[in-house]
Parts: sequence; structure tokens; C-alpha cells
Amino acid sequence: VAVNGPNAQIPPPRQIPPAVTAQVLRHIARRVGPPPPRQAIAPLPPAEARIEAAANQVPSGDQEGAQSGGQPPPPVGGNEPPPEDVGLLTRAVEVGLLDKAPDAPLTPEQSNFINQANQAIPDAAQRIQENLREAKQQTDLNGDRSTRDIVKTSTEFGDAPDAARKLVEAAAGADPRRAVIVATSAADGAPDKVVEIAEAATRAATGDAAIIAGDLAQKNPNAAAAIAVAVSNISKSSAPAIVGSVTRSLPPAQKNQVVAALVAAVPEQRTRIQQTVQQSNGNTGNPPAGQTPAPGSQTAARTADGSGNTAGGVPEGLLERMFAGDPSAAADVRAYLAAGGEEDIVVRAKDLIAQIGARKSQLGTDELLQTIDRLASQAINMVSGSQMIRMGIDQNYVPTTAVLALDFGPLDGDVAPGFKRVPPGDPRIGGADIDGLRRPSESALLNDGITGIQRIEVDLPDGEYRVILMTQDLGDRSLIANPFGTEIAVNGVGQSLAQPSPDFWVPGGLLTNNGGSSLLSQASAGPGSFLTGDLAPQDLSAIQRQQGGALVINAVVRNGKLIIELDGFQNAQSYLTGLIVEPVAETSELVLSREASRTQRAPELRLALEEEILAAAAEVLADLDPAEGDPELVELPEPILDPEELASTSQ
Amino acid sequence: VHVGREKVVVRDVRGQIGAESAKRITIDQRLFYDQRVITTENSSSVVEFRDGSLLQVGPDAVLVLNKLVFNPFESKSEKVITAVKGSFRFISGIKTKTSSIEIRTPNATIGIRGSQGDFLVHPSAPLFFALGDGIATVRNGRNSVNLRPG
Repeated sequence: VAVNGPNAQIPPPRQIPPAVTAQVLRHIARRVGPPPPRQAIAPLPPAEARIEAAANQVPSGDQEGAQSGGQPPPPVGGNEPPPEDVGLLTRAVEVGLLDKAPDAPLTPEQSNFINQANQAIPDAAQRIQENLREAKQQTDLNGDRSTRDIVKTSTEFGDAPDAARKLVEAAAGADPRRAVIVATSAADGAPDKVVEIAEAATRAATGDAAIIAGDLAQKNPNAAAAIAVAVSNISKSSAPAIVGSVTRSLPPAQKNQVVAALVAAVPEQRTRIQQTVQQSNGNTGNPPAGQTPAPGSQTAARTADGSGNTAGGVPEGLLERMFAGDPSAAADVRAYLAAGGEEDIVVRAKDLIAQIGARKSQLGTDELLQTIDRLASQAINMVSGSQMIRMGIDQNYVPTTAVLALDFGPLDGDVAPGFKRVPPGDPRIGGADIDGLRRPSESALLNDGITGIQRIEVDLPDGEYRVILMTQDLGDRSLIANPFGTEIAVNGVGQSLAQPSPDFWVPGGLLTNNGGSSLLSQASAGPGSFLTGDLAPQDLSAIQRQQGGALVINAVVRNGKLIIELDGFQNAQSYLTGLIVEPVAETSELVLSREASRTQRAPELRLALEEEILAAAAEVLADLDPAEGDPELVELPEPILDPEELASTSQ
Repeated sequence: VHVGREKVVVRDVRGQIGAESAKRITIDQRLFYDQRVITTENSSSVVEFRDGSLLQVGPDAVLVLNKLVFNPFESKSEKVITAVKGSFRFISGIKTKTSSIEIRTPNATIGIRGSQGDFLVHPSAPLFFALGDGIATVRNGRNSVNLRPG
């Protein structure tokens, strides 16, 4: 808006031509310069921070009283001419555009001016949009920074009783979106108050309960159990997610304490808590907390845990819900199939199909067909779909084999060495509600990212490539249920993403230039493959701390374009932190544990596993008369990937 | 109680309280109620208020820090500044339940509720204000206009 005098009419903003706005914005930007970098607003030295904290505790009424009155501003001096580089604003005044009544028609002179202005700066609207985008980024960044500084300083140096709790209640209550930043900053200032900080922050943002609990447990591991219980008491339904986030970096003894405390505090969530722990232990090879499974049989352990499972290991009532077409059964089927680990999916699927077959006399033809169809599709999806790998990034890693290395995140976030920044609004990415997100991490590649990406399109020379998409486990399963979606297509060739939730990410991968020296013992290597073996403990530790997630897909580029499309987010959004594209003929700089290397399953093996499931389904349906059921259902599900697709999409 | 601090000083930035003569301001120096901040030609400055909000100030500018009431425990932040002349950019800081910023200029008063705005105050040009984020109201002796970004 432009105002020509203290008693002049303030015209509606639409009366100011975009070219005038764009020109003055450029003038202001040149004069004030770019926003100060974070380093220029460094935290205060301790003595000054104490003064700041003391000032922040003065009641607002006292501050108000001390500042009443005030002096009139100094007079505006001189008759200096207006700046030359805002000529369009000056001209708008001269033609009377600012004084024009909103409903009055434009004079010929005014119309002429607007046309000339539009010709002078034809991309004015685009520049204004860019300014708005930068403004939002500046606001977000400074909101994060100032929240962090003020909360930390005020809790560290504040002497008011119960200061940490009160401050977190106030700050997170006013800005629930920053509840995690408020909580972690307060914990930095007062690490002995993490439990009350966690409670106060969770009350303001119950949806972030798991992230808050996990982040604060990392700040003070000795208080992990107390944090988990306190937060779960506020958000009982989050207890399973909380146990996952709180225990992720704890040693087994502390982990058991947390689980026991949580089960005692939220007994109604016992089964789900134990399932979460079981999944976590299944991934690490550790026995479930508080349980000793029978050798070679995780199913036996589950049936003995009092969770209500039947003797065959199938959760009670699951078959009935499958028969009834209950939509919630799909998630439980997926959990059941996945619970035994990757190698057990086919065995469990065949067992479940056999159990359905044993009860087929109770079902109508369509019911039986539909149930088998859904189960076989789900199992095939899980063995054929790609798997996420939990990964870390070597501190000094710089991509050397990659032909493309992109770091997604806000424009002024930290860019990982050797990577190019892709900010929100970059033409190479598309999607709905795209936004930058910053997260604490020691890796520049993981400490920020972009939510909402559904399409990536980049130029690449024709050839065969290994595409490594990266994300970070944000801790909150509702936020990052499936960071890449459940369906992913690369240059039009689609495949499913099996078990996308961080609960099921397979450990572990490490992006490193050190290659074999990261491995205690090397299992395999070679051109066009991965270095594979037992990762050194310090690297495993980095993987756990950094909580990165990677998906590896092979792609063929034939027309100079690599197009990645992500779909199947349900109510969640994608979250991408980085993308690496390596020639497939080169040995990857993503070093894999033995377990993670099994996710890169050979196409022939995938087809064999699919065939096993289909054979079991065919056996149950063998004596069925196709004329009795829906013809489309009698056709068993096709394998998701056919051999030709496999040859060009997945290892 | 101070209202903020000088966080970035490029060349010659001066502060003046009451009838005192203007003195050079240094980085991290505390700024007080009714203090004037003056940038000379080719100089610029960034003022950080106690609530973390930033005011970028271009060359040849004069502003007065009229008031800041900030208490994060009460979740309250109110500030008043007078932009006498110059180019400025305001960026909001920590979010509070009660929040307001009033920018007084010779031609109009701008009320911002969060978040970012660029403005130009010049004795021979109209007041120009562009809202980057948040909502704002511009009012003077004649009328008032509500603004949204874009």
C-alpha cells in the first residue's frame, strides 16, 4: 500500500500496479540487504544472557509503567528528492493514482502509466511472489531461532520457581507448531527439568508427543522412563509410538526399564507397546524387552505374551474381520506378516491362506475370493515392494560417484558439502502444500527437508542409474507414516514400497567415502553393487543417532529425463531430505549391513517368492467353480512387477 | 529494562537518548525505551528486540524505539516504533498469545500482527508498505485499510 500524506486517502492495495510494488521492494531490499545470517545473531555471552533473562521476567505491567509517556519523534528533515530507483512510485503520485477514488474510472493518463509500468517490469507479479516466498521463509527461520534463544536463555538463567514449566506452557501454548523446538530448547537450558518440560509441551501439542518424548529422552537418558510415562499419561494412544522414539538410542537395560514403566502406566496399550518393541528388536536382532522367545520362533513368543493371539500366531478375530472386509484388518494383516521379519513373510502368508482355506466352508464364494485376493495382494506387495533402509551419513561424506546430489530444504538452510540445494518452489519439484522443514541432526543432509513433494523431474544423460531417495525419521508416526508414499514410479515404471513406516526400516546403511574401512568384515563388493558386511559400532551408532531413511531404486533414463512420482500418502505427506543418483555401473557409496543388503533382492528371487504365495492361494481355490464368483476376482492377483519391469527398476 | 540490542552494525550507526548527543552503537549493545537509532549514508543496522523480532534498517535512516513490553512467561509482546525516514524490513520473533507491533510514520500508522513487512519512509515520497506475511492494518487521519500478503 502507498499513502501520500497524513490526511490523504489510503488507496486499496489493488490500486497500486504490481510494477510499482516490485520496484520499491527491490529498492528496499538493496538498502536493507539480505536478512542477517544466523551466525550474525549468535547467542549472547553468559553475562549478557543473564541480563536478558532477568529482563524477560519483569512483569509486563511494570514494563508498561516504566515506558509510559515518551518523546515525540524528531521532525522530518529537508526537501531531499525522492530516490531515483522508485520512479514508478513517484510517477503514480503525479498521475493521481493514489488519490483516485476506488470506484472512479482510470483517466487516460493513469491507464497509460499503468501500461508503461507493466512494460517496464513485465515480471513484476513473479517478483512479488518471490518476495512473499522469501518473507515466509524469513519469518519461519526467525521464529525458530528466536524461540530457541529466548526459551533456552530464560530457562537456563531464569530464577523464577518453576520457570521451565511455566515458560514451556506459555511458549508452546502460543505456538504449538514449535512445541518440539520449545521443549528441546528448554531442556538445553534446564536438563534436570526434562519431565515437567515434556509434560508441558505435550499438553500444548499432543500430536507431537512421541517426538517430544524421544528428543527429551536423548537430552537426558536417565530420565527416559519418567518422560515416557509422563507423556503417555497425557496422550495414552501415543504410548506405542512413544516407546519407539524414547528407546531408539537407549542401551538394553534402560530400554527394558522404559518398556516396563510404560506397560505399568498404560496397561491398556500393553499389546501395542510390546508389538512396537518386538518390531524394533526384530530389526536389531535383540530379544523383545522382558521376553525370551523360543529359539527360531518369534511367533511362539507372541502367543505366550498374553496378547490374545491364537495358537497359530494369528491375532484373535483377525480372520473374521478379513472375512467381513473390515478395512482396519489390512493394517493388522500387514503387521502380522511383517512381524516375523523379512524372510518370514511368505511362510506367514501361506499359513494364513491355509487357515482361510480350512474355514472356506463357512464362506460364500465371493467372500472367499475377496479375502484371498486381498491377502495375496498384500503379501506379494510386501515381498516385491522396495524396502526402506535406516541409514546414517559419515560426517565428512562428499558424493564422488554421484552424477546428481540434491539437498532438499529451505533456501537458507545448511547445504551438505557436494550437494546442490533444492528449495520449496524449485521447478524440479512439484506437489501439494510444499514446505521447508528444519529438524535437529548432526548431518547437514538430514537437518532439513521438504514436505509435500510428489514429483521430481531432473535432466540426466541417458543411461542406467541407482537412485537413492533420503528422508529422516521425525519420530512421530502420524507425521511420517510413509515419507515416500506407498507407490513410487520412476520414469513411469511403478512399484510398491513395502512397510514404509520407520518402524519397519531395515538397519543399516551408511553414506561414506571410506567404503570398506567402515566394515568390520566385508561380505561382498564389486562394480555395480554395494559394499556389504558388518558395520563398525561407531557407524551403527551414527545411523541410530541420525535416523536417516533411504530407498534405493534402479532407473533407466532414455530421453534425458529422470521423473520420480510418489503416491499413496493417505492422510500424511511426503518428507524428502536428499537425492543421490549414481551410475549403476559404479560401486555405491551407500555401504550396507548384511541385513540391509537383503533388501536389494534379486528379481528372480522376488518372482520366486511371489510364485510361492500364488501357489498357496491357488491350492485353496482349486476346487472352486469360476462360474460361481465374480470373474474378475477368480483371476488371482498379478505379480506387481513383471520380469521386464524388474530388469529395469529394482535390484 | 532494555527493549532490544543492536545485532548488526555496518559502518556508522548511532544511538541517541533524550537530549544527549548521538553516540556510536556497538554490536550486542542494549537499546532502551525512547532511544533513537540513526544510520548514516552507506551504513546499516539490524536491531533485535527482546522478543526476537528483527528490524533491518537501511542507510540514512532515523527511527525511535518507543516501547517494548515483553514477557515470555505471560506470553505477551507489544512494541511501538516510529520510523522517521529510511528503508526498513521487520521480521517477527517468538510467537506470543498477546502480540502487537505499531509502526508510526509521518503519513500513517501500521499495525502488524505477525510477521514480516517491508516499508519505505521518505519525506518526498509516499509511505510504502508491503506485507510479506501475517496481517496488517494501515490507518491515518482519513481512513484505514486491512492488508493481507499478496
